[in-house]
Amino acid sequence: MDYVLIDNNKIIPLQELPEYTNLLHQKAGKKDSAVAKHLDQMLDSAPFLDEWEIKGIQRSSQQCRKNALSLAKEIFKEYFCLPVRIASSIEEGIMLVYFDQNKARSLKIEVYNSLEIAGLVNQNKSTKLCIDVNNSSDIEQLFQAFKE
Amino acid sequence: MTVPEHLHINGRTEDQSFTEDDQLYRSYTFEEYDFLEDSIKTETVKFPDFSCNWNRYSEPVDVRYRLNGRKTDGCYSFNVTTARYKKIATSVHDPIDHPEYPNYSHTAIRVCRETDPPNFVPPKNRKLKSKSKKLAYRENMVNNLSIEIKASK
Repeated sequence: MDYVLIDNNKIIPLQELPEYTNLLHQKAGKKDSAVAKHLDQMLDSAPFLDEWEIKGIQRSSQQCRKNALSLAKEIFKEYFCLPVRIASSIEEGIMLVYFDQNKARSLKIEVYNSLEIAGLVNQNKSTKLCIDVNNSSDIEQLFQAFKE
Repeated sequence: MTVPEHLHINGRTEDQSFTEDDQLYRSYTFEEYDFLEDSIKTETVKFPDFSCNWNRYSEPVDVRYRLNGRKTDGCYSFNVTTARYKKIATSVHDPIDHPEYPNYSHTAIRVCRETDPPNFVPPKNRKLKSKSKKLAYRENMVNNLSIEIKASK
């Protein structure tokens, strides 16, 4: 019988490999859906302040919320990071806030109702980087500054 | 809440003689405070046409004397240098002549342009197109403000 070495130095019969791979995919799927649910809940509980309502500030649009959520999911897949806060913004949109307590560093990404996106990295009350986000390489640039 | 006498206009005219060290006061609510970064949440800072009170003519607590103001409101301050970050905005004295809530100290943060002549007072509703410039401005304010009065629930 042929055997195959898989992760964690585990050896399994080659014929069991498809079953093992399926199991891994199922586990990953469950994790992704748990994260998606968590992010959904964070977004749903994002408060919109009474004073903003009075001042005529627009709530985030459905498309803006959808884009913000999909961005947060992509970021989790790519960088394994979850936001500490998903908030409504007075600038009419949604802000995703990531925080690294050890480095006192934050990453803030704001998705606007216009569907434009801007992001910044802040450390010790000083902005390291602030850019308009047009593609995934801009997100990568922000995460490099956030993680370095 | 009865508006204190020093906030009434009392025939006074605008004063645009800001100095870089002058302080500007802004109200905030408990929900706007960011315990993680020990400051105000960036997403609650509006820019431009951001209202505040000038310390030359008011005290921090005066931010509560406004329409929908509450006794639980806190106050933070920042100086004119912060308001003029990267020369994309400046403070403009803009007294409010309201029958119930007059506010002589009212000041607006407005967008200025490189082509503006010296001592030009920028008008309301000027926009800044770049989202990243606006975000950088708001974050700089958050990074440089001081809490004068803590907000309560």
